[in-house]
Amino acid sequence: MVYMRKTLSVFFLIIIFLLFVPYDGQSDGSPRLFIYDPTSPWQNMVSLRDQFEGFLMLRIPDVIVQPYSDFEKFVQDVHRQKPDLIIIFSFHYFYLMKEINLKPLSIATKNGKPFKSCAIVTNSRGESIASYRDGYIAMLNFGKLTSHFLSVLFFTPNGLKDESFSIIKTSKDIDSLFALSEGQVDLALATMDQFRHISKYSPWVVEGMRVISSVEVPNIILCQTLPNRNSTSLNVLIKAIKNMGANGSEILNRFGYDGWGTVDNGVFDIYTNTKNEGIP
Amino acid sequence: MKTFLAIFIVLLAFNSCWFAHANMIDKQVLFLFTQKNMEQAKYKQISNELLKSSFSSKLSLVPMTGNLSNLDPDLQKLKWVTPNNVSAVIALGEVPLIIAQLAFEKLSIPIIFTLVYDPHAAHDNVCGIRLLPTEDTQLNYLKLLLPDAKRLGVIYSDVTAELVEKISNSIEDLNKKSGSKINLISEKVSTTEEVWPAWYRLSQNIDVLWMIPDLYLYQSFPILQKDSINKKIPLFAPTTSEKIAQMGAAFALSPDYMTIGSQLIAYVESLIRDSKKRKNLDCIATPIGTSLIVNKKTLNDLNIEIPKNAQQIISKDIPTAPDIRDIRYDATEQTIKGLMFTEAVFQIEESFYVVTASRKREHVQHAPAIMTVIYRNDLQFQQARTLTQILNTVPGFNAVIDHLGDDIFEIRGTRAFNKFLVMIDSHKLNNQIFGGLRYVLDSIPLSLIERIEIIRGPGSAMYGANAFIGVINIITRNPPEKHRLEAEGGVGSFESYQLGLFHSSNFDNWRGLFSGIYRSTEGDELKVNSDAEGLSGSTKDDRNTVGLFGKIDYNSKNRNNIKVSGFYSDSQRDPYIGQAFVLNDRTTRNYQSYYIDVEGNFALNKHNLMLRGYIDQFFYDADWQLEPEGWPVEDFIKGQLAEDEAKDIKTGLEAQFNYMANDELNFLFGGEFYYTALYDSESKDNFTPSAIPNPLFNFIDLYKTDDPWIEETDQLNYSGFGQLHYRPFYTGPNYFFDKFSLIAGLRFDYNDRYGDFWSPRAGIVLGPINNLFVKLLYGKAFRSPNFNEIKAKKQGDVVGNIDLSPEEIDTVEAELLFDKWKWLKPSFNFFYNRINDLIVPDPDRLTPPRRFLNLSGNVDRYGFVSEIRGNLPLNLSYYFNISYVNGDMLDLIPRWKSNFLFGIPFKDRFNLIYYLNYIGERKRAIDDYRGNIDSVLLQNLSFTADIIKDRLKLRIYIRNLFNKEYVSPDPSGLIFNDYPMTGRYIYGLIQLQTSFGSK
Repeated sequence: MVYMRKTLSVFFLIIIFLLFVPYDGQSDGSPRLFIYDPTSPWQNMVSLRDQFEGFLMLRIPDVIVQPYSDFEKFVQDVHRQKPDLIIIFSFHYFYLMKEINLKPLSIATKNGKPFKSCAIVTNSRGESIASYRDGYIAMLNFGKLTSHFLSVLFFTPNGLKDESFSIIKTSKDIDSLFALSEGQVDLALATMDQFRHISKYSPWVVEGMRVISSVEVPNIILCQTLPNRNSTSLNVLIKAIKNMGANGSEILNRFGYDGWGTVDNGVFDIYTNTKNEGIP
Repeated sequence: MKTFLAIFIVLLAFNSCWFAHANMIDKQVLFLFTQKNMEQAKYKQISNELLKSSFSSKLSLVPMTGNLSNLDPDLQKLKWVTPNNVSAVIALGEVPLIIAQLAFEKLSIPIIFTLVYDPHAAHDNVCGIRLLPTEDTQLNYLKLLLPDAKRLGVIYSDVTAELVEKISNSIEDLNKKSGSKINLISEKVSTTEEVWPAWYRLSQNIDVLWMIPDLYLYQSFPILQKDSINKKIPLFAPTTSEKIAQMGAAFALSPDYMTIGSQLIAYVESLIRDSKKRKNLDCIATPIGTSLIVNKKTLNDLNIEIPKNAQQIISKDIPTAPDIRDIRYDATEQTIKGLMFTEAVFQIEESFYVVTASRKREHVQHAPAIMTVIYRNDLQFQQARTLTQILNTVPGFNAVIDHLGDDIFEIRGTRAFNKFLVMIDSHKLNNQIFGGLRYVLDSIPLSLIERIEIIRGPGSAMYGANAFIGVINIITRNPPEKHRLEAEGGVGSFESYQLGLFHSSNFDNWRGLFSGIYRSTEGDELKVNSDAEGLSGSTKDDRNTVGLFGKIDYNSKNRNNIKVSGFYSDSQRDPYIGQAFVLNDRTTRNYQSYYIDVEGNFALNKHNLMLRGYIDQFFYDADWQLEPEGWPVEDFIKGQLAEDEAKDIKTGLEAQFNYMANDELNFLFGGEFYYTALYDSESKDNFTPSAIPNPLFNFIDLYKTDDPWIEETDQLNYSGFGQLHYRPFYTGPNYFFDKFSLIAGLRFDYNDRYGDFWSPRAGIVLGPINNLFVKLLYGKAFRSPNFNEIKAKKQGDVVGNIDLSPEEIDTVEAELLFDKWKWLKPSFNFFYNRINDLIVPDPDRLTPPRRFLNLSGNVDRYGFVSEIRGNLPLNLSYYFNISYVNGDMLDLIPRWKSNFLFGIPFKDRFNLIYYLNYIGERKRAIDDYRGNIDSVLLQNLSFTADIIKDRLKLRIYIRNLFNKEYVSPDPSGLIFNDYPMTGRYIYGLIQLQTSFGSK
């Protein structure tokens, strides 16, 4: 009986220990690539993961690719699981690098350009953003940085405050533009690529819409988390991503790009007109 | 301490001020929701967004019970609210909106709702977001997906006429703007029955059917879905969830609930900034974001390719579609209005499927067998600790013990431990020495069970020998979490202990599972009035068992699967009454077994090939004390002793090919080959006369006998089986043919000792009226004698048919199952068995050496089982069954048996379960002087508490609550008061569980 009690006690202590030990994602040695790009026109995360992973598995059989649509979950997993590489939209990179040691490796390009255009469009008469004060604006969900993006790139330069607008977050640009066309919001923020895309295939939706403000923002960044833990497979992985062949170009096209370029020092200048204290 | 407190208060005050300043919100925002709804993903998504809002610190969460028939408790919760201190109320769902209106509408506090079906609820202070995106948005999506579709069909009723008008206006606008020439072709219906003819007319003239949320239309979805594929017309369904695409619709367009959450925040912020301003919220807003879900399989079947430019707007694609005939569509007006028209209408859960009845996946109601399926949730409900206790609640099953204390079952009037087949994931567990499982059942850890599929009736047409009166297939779990760990430990009466561990891990293609259990009990001190020697005393039902199960699963991307599994069981049984029916027996028996099984499932287009290879081993080791010290003569200082041991091994291969001729006709072919051998068999004792001349013989030490316990032997078995399953797809309104299916199967088994045996089966499933399933079945089964019975035959210990033929059973059975209401699900089944060559222990000599009786005549038995179960209001649930058997040779078998379980949950985390077990009177043989055994009513109670939700659980069981004295019958007549059973038994179990990592 005493023996049994002792066994039970030891057993439970072990179990309780096991239950409360936080899960360490690093126990799995597979190289990991995490992706967060809210500006990507491609919505289907599962299909994106399967295709990207299928492509990379030809080089590194146990690679894990994990795309995210939720920024907060992405940040949480980056902290907990420490992926080897991440692909992230430049604006989020700019804020995340204050918290995590990241080494930028490449920037995505389209037609050789490392920037894309983001524009605020409207279909009513107001000439400037200020004329829509107290109105609704629909834009992509950038997580905690949603209003910050507007503030840094559109409001502050125009002397406006965050509180001047009610932001409605959407998962894709087409929703923001549909909402504007139906009069549910006063303004919509969208990438110009998507605006052109919709103009081509559903011109009646964007009929009467015009751009009242636009900025050029850097594209997605491929970066490495430091310190690195998988030097051999990491180099193969980086090489595979940077030199995507015919199959790989299709994947990159899904993000809206066609190649990778070098990250120049001045590429983030557009974001530096505000104080970066990390993710708010 | 005071200093710390002061600093804390200052910090708190500062923090509050800062928040109030930062949010510019002084007043609170009430967030009303129904607790139960919060389990749904869409409610969670919306509330997650709200919790990220700038006013999250001012958000007061008010969970509601959501009981429409009694709103008082929910209204009471709002009594404490000071209206002046509330800036807005957010109501998530129908009932919270009603409550918000009752409590706040007259006080001019703005109420913002969402997830509410009826948009007319909005007026002065009440505004909200309606359920579906605008018709313009829906049309734009449709145009992007199917740019060439010019003729849009819609079926509607009076209730949805308004929607059709809106769609018509949208089409008109779009035609004007885009110059396209889209036509809306509509058909009006006023009953569900009118939908099929309306569809028939429409389908001649349309390119796509726009599934508006109409009750009649959704009720007819299964037949529309199937026929739409035949006619190559896609279904486009704007709805509230992706479920309709999971059911096979080509497209489902639902709101993006993250955006709805964001819209709510924007509207609340806007109201708070300027309470007089209601811009864009004068009445009803529409959801801005959308999620487009497509069913890839349906699109494939329809030969539709989505244009490249539209592929990027797809949020998710679903690769499969269920068999449309299995979809239940029992919606009511109320469910439609309650926003549930996709969630509640289409009940098709994975748990409705079984694999045992036809060796393929099929809906339980269509399975050609009388089945009971015990799901994982039921295990929690039954509060059983062992598999034997679970099986005891199955209608027609009754667990008793024999003189050795081993669990045996009385099933449909037949008492045996080896006349039913037990499998884990379709791997057969029955050993060859005894043919059954003797004590292995309780070493199977319950933590590994996903469900138990139990066939009451013959199963030889599918599984060959031993599937005589029943088949029990334990289907193991596949938890969805990346990693899951569960541990349990329990202590109870009679020095009982239990330790269990479960772990599973999921990687991309790999899955692993381990489950283990250790159980030990000294057993109750049970009083025996008079043993075979006429002595009185007591005995204990002492048991120790260990079970370990492991499984590794590999799933390739092309749906192939390879699984390696293994199970180890070690059971030790200390003395009970004993082999010689004498108390003071010191006999111990040890059963060990293990198996390793490799199974591969390969998808070949629509067809499937299964290959299996396995090795099973069973070790038997018994140390007998047949008579106590000093018996039968004083020379036996240690008693009359014997030792028996033997091992058996079984290696086999199995193959099965499932050929889907088309959606309606399925052929299954297969074969099995296995070799069994008994080896390392020996016997020792201190009393065999042949050893007496040995000068060293002393009646104390054990000497190896000339004959082994069982002569070493082997057997070769091979078999082939085939089955035809025809389940036509009927698209008309006649229920009779809607559920119709036909099955016919035949299995051939060859055993090199007994020759061949043919097991045919036939069955038909019908639906004479809506929601009623009728099964009419016939089957033949057999059981070959086991090594122990073969030994008896060789020793001349078989009476009746001394050649010992395999026993055979012919069964005719019928079942009626009515599945309409959640609160009452009745079923009734009837069986008639004719057993030929029945093998039973010879009642005239049950003492060693054991003799068997092989009856050459027929034994006829018949009976019925009636069952009802359901869920009542307040989450109460119940289960009641009653079984009856009559016919030949039913001595000591209860004619009646009944089980009743009633579950009372309270406060969402506590559960009280009352279990009543009635065993009817048992009649003895005419020449048995002891008189009949009275009926008994046992009452059991258990209590479960979720101490930490989904992490820590406490369970307390009290079995035989009123310490009722009852017995298992003794057929030998040597134990005057039969085998006494355990009295009141209290057991406490703590369960810890955690999961981590997302898949």
